[in-house]
Amino acid sequence: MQTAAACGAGGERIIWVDIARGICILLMVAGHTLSPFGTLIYLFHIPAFFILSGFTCAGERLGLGRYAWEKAKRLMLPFFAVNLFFVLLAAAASALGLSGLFMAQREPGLAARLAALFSLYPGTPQLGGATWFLPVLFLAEILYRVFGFVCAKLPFLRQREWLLAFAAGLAGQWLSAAGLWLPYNADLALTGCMYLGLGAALRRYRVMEERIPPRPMLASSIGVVMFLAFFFYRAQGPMNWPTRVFNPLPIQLPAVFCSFYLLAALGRWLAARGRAGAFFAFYGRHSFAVLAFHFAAFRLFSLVLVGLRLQDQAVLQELVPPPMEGLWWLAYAAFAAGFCLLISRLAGGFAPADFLVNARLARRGKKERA
Amino acid sequence: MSAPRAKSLAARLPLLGVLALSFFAVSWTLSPANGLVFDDYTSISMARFTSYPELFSLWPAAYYNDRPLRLMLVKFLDELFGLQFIPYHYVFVALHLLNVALVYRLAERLLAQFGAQKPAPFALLAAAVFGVWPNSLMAIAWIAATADFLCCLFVLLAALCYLRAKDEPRYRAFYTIASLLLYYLSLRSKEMSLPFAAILLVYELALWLQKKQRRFMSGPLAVHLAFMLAYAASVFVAGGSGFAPDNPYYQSFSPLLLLRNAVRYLFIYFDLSHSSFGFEGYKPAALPGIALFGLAVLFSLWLGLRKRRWGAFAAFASAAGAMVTVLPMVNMQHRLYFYLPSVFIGLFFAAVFCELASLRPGLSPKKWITAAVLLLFCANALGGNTAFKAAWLAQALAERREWEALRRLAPPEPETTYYVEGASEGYSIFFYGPGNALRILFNDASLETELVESFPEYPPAPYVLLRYNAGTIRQMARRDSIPIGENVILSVWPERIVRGSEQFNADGTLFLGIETRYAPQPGKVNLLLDGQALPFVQGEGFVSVTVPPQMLEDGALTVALQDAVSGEMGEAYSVPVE
Repeated sequence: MQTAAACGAGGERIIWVDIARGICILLMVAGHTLSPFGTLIYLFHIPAFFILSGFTCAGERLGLGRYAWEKAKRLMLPFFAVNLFFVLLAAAASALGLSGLFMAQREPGLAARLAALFSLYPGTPQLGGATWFLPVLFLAEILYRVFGFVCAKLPFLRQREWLLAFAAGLAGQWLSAAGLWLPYNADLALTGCMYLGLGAALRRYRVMEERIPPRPMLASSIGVVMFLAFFFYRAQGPMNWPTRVFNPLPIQLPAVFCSFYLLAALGRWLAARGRAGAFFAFYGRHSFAVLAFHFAAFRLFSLVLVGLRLQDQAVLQELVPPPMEGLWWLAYAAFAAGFCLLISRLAGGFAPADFLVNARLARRGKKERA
Repeated sequence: MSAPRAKSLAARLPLLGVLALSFFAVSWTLSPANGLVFDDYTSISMARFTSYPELFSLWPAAYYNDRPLRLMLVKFLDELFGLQFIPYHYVFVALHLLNVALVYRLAERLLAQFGAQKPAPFALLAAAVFGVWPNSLMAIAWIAATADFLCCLFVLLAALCYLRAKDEPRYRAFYTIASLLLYYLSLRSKEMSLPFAAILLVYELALWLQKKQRRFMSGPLAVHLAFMLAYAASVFVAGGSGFAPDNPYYQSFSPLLLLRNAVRYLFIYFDLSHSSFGFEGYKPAALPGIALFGLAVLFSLWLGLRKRRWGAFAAFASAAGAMVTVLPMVNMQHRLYFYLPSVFIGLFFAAVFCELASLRPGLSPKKWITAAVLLLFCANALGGNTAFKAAWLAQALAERREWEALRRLAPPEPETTYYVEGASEGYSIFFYGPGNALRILFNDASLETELVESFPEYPPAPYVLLRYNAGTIRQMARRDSIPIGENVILSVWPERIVRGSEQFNADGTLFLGIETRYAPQPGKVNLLLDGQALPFVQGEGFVSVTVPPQMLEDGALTVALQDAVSGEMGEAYSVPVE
């Protein structure tokens, strides 16, 4: 999934952005396997996606309507498509009498599922659980574009849409703290918009390249992140976006910024490392496949373990892998990453599959990268 | 070794020397005899049994002693080292040496800014005054005093970042933000650093007066000052300053008292015979140091007025500013409070010496500085300081003996209450909490401690009775549970229930008060009325239960206790119902 190609000013790809995105998406998978690094991952990985999207924001030259349509093609259509696929899959499983194997309780019928998917508070099927991010990113990007439109009209705010985005973020945080969930997770989109604005500002003012001394920032970022991840938030997760659990903004912002700085530094370092960089960059360019299908991959791996009698059948009903000792979390994560890589590659040769798995739209003989 | 590397090492040797002397000045704190003293038990107890997010608060909620970073550091050390206290002190010594190095760095930059051609030797003097002079190093010995060197560390880093923001325009925003963040962290370590922004103002003013810059107000300075005012306002709004006039923390802003306290602090700082925590009197041993200090102040004033060289006086003003938050305390002048101000005292002496050297080119600064540093170190061996160290270690040792006595006790059941006889007057290991020592020793926050004149006759179980006498601790009795048969119902009120009387509530229920030999504990003991368990509420020496009307239709109400685990019944008590 990419909101826009990770392109520089001249249209060239920014490789470290692809790498950073790839790292984040794999960390997301690891985070869902109850890995021991969950606190570290949850400290920053979702905001990092927004920041990267803001960093690579393009389309300011498009009109608002056209911009919204392009984003809808890239984010909303794939969202509905993949969740529709999972709904139909669940319906097929029910029809074949397999729901009892995979579902803990009686699941709603096909009509109810479809209604839930298209409701004001979209309810995705279990396997599509992580795709909540797509409508939120869509809304955040539209909102940011609106801010850009407004700021272009006001001389004192020209090119300062990130300021409005920050204000939106404050509103989003307030709503979350007050327990007010808006339709289509618009409250999360407000917070996401803030990070989008941060990414855009980082790019516009060349903050990381020119305004931050590398050594002190690296040293202090490592200290901040290690302390927060392995001590401060050890007993509790720092953030959980779907459940609106956020750490206080004065802690959240430095934590995210320091983590993102380290991520960017790592991305730049890997960009010069050939294969290692290419590996993560691939995942960065195919992050939709990982986002949409990693829960399915977990189920598949659980099925394998059940078949090998290494796990109880009840585990097939769990969305995330069960707590297990040792490095099983790594096995789950590696399987999911490999599975998503495989289906991403296989789907590339067939347009409908390419759209479903990679969110890529074929356009008159020319593949349009989503 | 290449020539530049050799030169670099040679340049660093003097600093390494000062660091070594600083280490030896505080190395006594690494003694195995040093351990938990006084409110260390409270610090560790609070830190251990509270999570990091619960310990931390963004903004002060109290006027005084709202220092979350202090407790977070203690928690961090507790997680690393548990009850092994020697490593704590190694960390403290390491932080102190880091602070010494930072003082050197800061002094070097500041002296250069005020016109010193070769600031390095004078910066060594500043570092030595800070790191070696014994009367300001109490914080290193004390776990509960981590606030002081943590606050100092953040202030030094903030100052260096502030200077960097001026020197590196490209990174100005970054270093300004970093300086502000570090200033904030220093305040959340200890409120003593509140005047830091004012100290920056003094520094900028001095540069401006010395015509080293065109203006003294800048964006970064304005931001720091605004933050200082906002934080000060919130601290005062938070309140909690209602101390009684005889309380150690009672404050007065009377100018005469402030002056008096300032003089007292001078005597504490320069008194070579000073051996305790607080002010001991206007002793002659302090006069040479005070005289030297006074001459230096006059000299710095003269430099400013006559030569328009304000660096030294600015350093003096900074030192005074750093003491501002503790000057109003009427009943307590404590050597602990010198750790942060001694940074500026060191800068002051360094600046004065630097100016002297510039006025007298024949003076050989290196020799004099070397002599001064060695003299500072020798002060550690003088009577006052050795007495202080001996007293501290003796206190730590005495508490260690009591600690070891507690360790020999068997681990208690959860929610055990310790009744300690003989410790209600004076100080003992049980004082803080009371009983925080027991909580951290047995790693159980549910333990309670009561300091009693005499043991209660029928305390609720589980309990332990300890007798304390001049440092010895003896366990007199311990009961983890009371057999139900022993827990007799002594009386019930009302003794006779009369239907339709005023005894009843409007809804027809009745409050029944039951006095038992031992207070029954919910979850461990059931209270049965006519064989039915009802919830009860603990009162002072009794329990009360609400009896529903349907239970009062018979001619008598039977009250009994039952062991909730075994189901064993105690003796029944019958209350007639008429």
